[in-house]
Amino acid sequence: MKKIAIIITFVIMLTGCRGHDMGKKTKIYTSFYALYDLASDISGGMEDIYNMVPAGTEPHDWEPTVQDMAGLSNAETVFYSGTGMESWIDKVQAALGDTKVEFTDVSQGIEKKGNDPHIWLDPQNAKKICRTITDKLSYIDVGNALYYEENYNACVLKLDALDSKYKKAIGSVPQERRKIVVAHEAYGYLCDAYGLEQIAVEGLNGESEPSPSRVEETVNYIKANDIKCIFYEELGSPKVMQTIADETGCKLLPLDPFEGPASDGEEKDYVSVMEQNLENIMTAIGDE
Amino acid sequence: MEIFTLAFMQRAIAVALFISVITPLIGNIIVLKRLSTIGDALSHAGLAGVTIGLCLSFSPVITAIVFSVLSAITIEYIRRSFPNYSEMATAVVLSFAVGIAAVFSGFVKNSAGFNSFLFGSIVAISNFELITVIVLSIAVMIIMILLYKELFYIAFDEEGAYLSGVPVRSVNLIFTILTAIVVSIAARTVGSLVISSLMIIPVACAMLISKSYLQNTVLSVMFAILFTLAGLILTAFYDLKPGGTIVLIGICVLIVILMVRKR
Repeated sequence: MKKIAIIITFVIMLTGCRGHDMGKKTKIYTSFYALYDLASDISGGMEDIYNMVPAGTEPHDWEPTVQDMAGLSNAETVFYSGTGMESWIDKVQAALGDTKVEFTDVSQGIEKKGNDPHIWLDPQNAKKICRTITDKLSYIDVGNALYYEENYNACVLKLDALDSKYKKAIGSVPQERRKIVVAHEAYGYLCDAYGLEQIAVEGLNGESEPSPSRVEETVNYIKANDIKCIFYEELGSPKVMQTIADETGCKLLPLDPFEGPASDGEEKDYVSVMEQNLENIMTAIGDE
Repeated sequence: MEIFTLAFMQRAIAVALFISVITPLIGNIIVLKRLSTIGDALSHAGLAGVTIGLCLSFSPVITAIVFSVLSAITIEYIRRSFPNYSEMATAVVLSFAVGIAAVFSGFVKNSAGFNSFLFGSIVAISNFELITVIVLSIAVMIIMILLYKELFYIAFDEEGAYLSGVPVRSVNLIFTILTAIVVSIAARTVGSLVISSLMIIPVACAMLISKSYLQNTVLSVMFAILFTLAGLILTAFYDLKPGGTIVLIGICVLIVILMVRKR
């Protein structure tokens, strides 16, 4: 019985691999989840979109499979952030130098802030990313340019609505209280867009461990500024933030930098994640 | 089958063949010197080198190679101080390298840039890396052939070699530097997991069936070629991670040989 099950699994895997190549749709790759979500909105099902690095995978441990590379060699384009999110991009690009795939940097036209790769956390930047994706898709598939433009306009409406929601909510909070304590320094773009200030326990690198003095500094800061809630990231380890929360008696809330789908693998969309983030930020800094 | 006509796949196979020849050649000596974990230690030394390079805004590729070479020489030195416990040397250097990397990474502003210097995968190889691997492989093969007798003697009986006039120190130094360069370049090309395991697992498999040192060397190279090619072919049809698959195939073969031999 077991053997039969194994054989069936193999056959399914085999047919599964073949099925991939049968699709007539153009193949588009995105380097990580935020771009996958935005590109899916613009494409509206016209292309097959594949996401490369799964959520929660440290880029250091990530390695493309032969299927990834083969898929990339006959894809039309790869959308990547161009801000150093993808440590593997140069090598993969060099290895695919002799194929037709083009690498599209979605950060073009966005003003970079230091080494922070999280450009998409400002909805205005998300709009610019959508613009780049729309232009590229329209170029690849001229026949559907109008359709992509329509999808783009729908996205812009949603993103502008999100932007004004943020402005209105955070604008109601006095400047000196607009402080968020976060696990790692991922929210520079979000903070600059809405006059927030982030106090990060760790630097840009989410994997390092903070020094005891840094933890103490954060604890003192929380006490001195009477901060009620601090934020952790679902994809990271909440241990450090939990320690600080226990130490100061604040509440712990999630803040999602939208680097991947939920831990149960369920797909999320940009706007709903950002709305949930806003709700949590308001719980932390707004009136009780 | 058309997957094998793709350029990246052809480069992967070419690199797999070259790496499979040179790593077991080095691995055979490494195992006899009781330094099996040196691949791991030296690839972590590369990691430490990259962090230092980024902190001092110096080319991380160069500092990685330099740090690996220095670590290898240190291993050689510590090994001489503890003749009967040479595996301690790799453990000490491994800890040192990881410690350096952990402390210095606190000063590295751009963590993504940091990772890009460590990223290596057998299926993502550029033409430049292919040429580097070929040149390196030829150099390693020439040196290993030239020093074949000396290395063989030293590996089995270092004292005896010294007494019969083999320039033990210089041969050891050349071999150590060679190992460090191979590990630091190959780790960035095919990944450190593949490189540190290809040094040892094919040698272990060969040791179970071979009758002489020469036979062992030839067999280990053949095993390494088997693992890497089987790994690439398997991952070409099933969506598996190439590096991990190659290593697991090696381990499976080792287990099979162990079980067959027992009976």
